[in-house]
Amino acid sequence: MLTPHPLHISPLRRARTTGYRRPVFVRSAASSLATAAAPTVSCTPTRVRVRRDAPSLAVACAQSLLIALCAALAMLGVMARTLHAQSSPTQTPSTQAPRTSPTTKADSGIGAALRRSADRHGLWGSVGVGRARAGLDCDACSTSTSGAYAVHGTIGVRITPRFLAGAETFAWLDVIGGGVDRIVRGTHLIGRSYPFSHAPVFLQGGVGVASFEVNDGDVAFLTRSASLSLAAGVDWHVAGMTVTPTVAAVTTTGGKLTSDRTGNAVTDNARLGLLRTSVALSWFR
Amino acid sequence: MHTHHDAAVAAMTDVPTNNRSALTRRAWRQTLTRMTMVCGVSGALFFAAGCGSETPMAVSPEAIAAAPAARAFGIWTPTSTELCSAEVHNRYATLGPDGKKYPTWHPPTDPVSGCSFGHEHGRDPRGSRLYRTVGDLPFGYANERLDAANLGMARHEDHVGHKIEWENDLKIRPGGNAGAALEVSCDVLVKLHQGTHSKDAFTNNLHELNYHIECSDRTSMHVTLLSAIGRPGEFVSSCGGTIQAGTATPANAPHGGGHRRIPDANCILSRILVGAGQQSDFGSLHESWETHNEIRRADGHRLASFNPYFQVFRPSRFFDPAAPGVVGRPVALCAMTIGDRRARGNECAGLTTTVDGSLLSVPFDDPRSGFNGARRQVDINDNVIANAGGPTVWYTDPFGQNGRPEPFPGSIRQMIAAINNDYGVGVNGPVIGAGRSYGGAGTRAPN
Repeated sequence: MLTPHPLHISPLRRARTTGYRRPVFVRSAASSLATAAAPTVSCTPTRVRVRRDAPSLAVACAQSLLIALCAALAMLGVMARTLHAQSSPTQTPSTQAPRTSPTTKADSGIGAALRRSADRHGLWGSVGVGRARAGLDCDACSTSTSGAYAVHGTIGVRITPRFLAGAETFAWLDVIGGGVDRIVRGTHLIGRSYPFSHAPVFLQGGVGVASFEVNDGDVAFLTRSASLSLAAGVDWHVAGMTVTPTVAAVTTTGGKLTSDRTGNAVTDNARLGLLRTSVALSWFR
Repeated sequence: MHTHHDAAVAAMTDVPTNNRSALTRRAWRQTLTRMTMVCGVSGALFFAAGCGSETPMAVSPEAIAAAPAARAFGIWTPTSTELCSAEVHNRYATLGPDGKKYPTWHPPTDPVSGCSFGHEHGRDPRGSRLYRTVGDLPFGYANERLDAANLGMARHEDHVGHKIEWENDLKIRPGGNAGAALEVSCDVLVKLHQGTHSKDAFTNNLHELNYHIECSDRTSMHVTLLSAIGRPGEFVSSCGGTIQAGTATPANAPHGGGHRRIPDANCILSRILVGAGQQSDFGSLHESWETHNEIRRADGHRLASFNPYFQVFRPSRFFDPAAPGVVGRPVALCAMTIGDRRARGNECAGLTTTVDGSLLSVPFDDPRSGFNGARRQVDINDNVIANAGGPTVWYTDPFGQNGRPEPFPGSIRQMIAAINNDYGVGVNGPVIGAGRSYGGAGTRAPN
């Protein structure tokens, strides 16, 4: 059930109350999404080994965004189908009337569902940069943490005016100097809630997979396991843009920390910890 | 009879299940981590709560008294009337896994009678966290097993050369920059028979080694063997070069890795007997026994390897082929002159007297001499295990070879974690014992 809320500050409210839509853009985007999300296209993230001698920030960022896009497409497809199936006559006027042409055989499927979902509920996304401290916790891990730049990208769909769902990918790149690269990567399915009607403050939680790799060009240690994230932030509308400062924490449930040279595990329970502050540019459509 | 831990019982006990302290620490850390996850605050809690109330099981004095004596038991006798009697000394005994009684660690001074034994065995093992599972170390057990192994050789060592060193929570950082992500914490308890007062080590390369280590990366070894250090019949001079010193005992001793680096007369005379205005290099009186040890299965597969280096500063001997018994005494250098060259430095202070115009040094076994081998350190190097999926208990011959899951005549029970811990990075150099001296309280050569 979608119910209008009197959000008067958040860009979410602005989008809904003004009926801000770009049908042509949405259709085009949805078509692209439908193509990208077709079953014949593999979006399975594969581990891309960062060059040991000169890790590329651009490569890592591109990989992260690609992973986020794939995950978001997959999730949006599922959600769009679900939303489509649950559409009811009690929806508010702003979302009742279909803005697209009636469904045809060629227009059915995930793509169409995505398009309808985007049309009814709106898409959102953000790209941010910040600083983060990260480290490993295990019986045989160094207790030291280090600080470095972090990037993250998010894409999703509005489920209700106060709840958004999507996918986020993030990377933490301690790759400058020191003779060793430390890289954290992760992709999460996230839910974001705006609990206050009078303030654009949100809380966000996510689950997914994250990895930590330390690599000196000779040997690398890697751990990957399920992870959780919690974040809090606020959407500020500034000069036609939405600026979103965020504080986020990521931790993993624990996994093997293995040497890539021998495949032997140092421990079975290495846990990643990351604390990030960032600023993102967000879009709501 | 001094009460000690039942080494036989300890040897039959699985270390991982008994190491409750480590488990407790891990449980705490897991709990804290879960709390961290719930709170969303991550990656910042690294606590260790060491606790545990385990104490060694006592062996009744009667049981020890009734046990048959191993060859190593009762071989020490006082060299001076100032020292404790052999009877007092023999109160410090324990049972070996074979049920025989062996000498074990004792303090330099008997706390009951107050007499001095004149020698020391290093650090009191009862402070080691591993003592809970290892118990008292039976000195000479590997030598005893060699007698039973029917290998056509025998090797027995004196009593005073058994030296213990240990450290809890030793931080080991693997090499390389990536290794900086790791910080392995280890409990280490080692004992090597490292006699540095006699000619024994000039030719004999077999020395009993007890090596116990448990680390936070699941590395765990409890090994006893006769370590073949270098080649028999020779040693490496502190100044370099190999010196053929004679015939080894046993003559068919196997060759081993590493070497025994021992000062010899040619090397040190020029460094200690110096002209006016110079300082003697007493640091050249330094022995470094660099061991390379392997535990192998009968099919040759290497289950474990470890390379501790044992170093002794200011030993009471050096190799001197011109001296009686080929043993030179550093303290004698304090009274030696060659032209205007003589020993110059604080090390000789108070160790010489002039009698009838002649400069004489105190005897080599005078307790005032600092050349007593009581300053030592051990370098803990690689500890590599390749035993994933294997049993944690192996029986090997006294040299750590021919490992089998079941015992055989002369075999020694070894415990090795069922893991592979070769990460592709080396570990070298954490030192234990540096800065400690076990001298004093009447300690003197032979020590």
